[in-house]
Amino acid sequence: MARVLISDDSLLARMTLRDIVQASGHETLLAASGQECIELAASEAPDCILLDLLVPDLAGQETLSILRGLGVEAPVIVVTSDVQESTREYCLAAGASEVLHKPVRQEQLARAIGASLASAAKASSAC
Amino acid sequence: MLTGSELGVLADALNRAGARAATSLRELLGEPAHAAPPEIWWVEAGEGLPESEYSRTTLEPVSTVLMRFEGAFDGSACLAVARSMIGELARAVLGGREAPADAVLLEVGNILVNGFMGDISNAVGGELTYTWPHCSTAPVRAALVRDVAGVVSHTCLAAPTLGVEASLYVALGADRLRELIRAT
Repeated sequence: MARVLISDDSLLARMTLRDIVQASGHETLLAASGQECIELAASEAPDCILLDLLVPDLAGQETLSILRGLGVEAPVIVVTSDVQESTREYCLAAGASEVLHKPVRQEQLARAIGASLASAAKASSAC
Repeated sequence: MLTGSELGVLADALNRAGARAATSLRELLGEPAHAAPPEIWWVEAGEGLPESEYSRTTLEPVSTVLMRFEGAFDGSACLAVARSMIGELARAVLGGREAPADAVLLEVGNILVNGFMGDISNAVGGELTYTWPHCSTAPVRAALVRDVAGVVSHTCLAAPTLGVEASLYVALGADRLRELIRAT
């Protein structure tokens, strides 16, 4: 079981993602803003982060950059309603492990979390 | 004004984006949903929205989720839902969970409008930046009044088993419209 931090300002999105993540057997932490996401990522050391992009206080792209700057190495899966190819390319270049589009499907998210955790574990054991 | 062939190209792009929006709505509701072919109007600067032939959203009080965008092309887009249908929409999306109907509408609008505009943006190989989406109870006519001439399109989304209908409106400024059509 992994600890997954869900960062999304939308109550509906947090509920939906929480239900999917918990149904996949993981524990969840919830953040409703970019600032809260950064604080929880630093204090709770989650194994994986689900990050929305369009957030009022701090765009997800900035949050991702700050997290990496703080040394948070947990894989970040961007879950966004922005389906533009340019957004996807930007996020992957900035260090996201995957970009999923809303509404996200259960099996799709479970697979992405599993692959990100496996990839992070492999990278960690190689160090 | 646009020529007939330009209108045809634009209608194709809007049709594809509407199909994506219907797929997203179906996934959100867990019920069948489909998109009607788009209605397209040329609107002069300062004019409001013409009457839709088949949408309840120009006849009944609505709540809208409105976003503005700029970049590859400029304009605004909104999802409008008749207020009488928002409760049913929220119940279907929530599936037994509890959340304010307005919060549900905001996220549904965010997903559908972003998906719709992103699909058009991808089709032209461009890039858009969006403003933060916000809810309004102003009539669609008022929400989409523009200070420049351009095109307004309307795509009707329907989930017949739930009796839910939603309208996606997009207002595109004329200045980059022909570039968009050429790129599409």
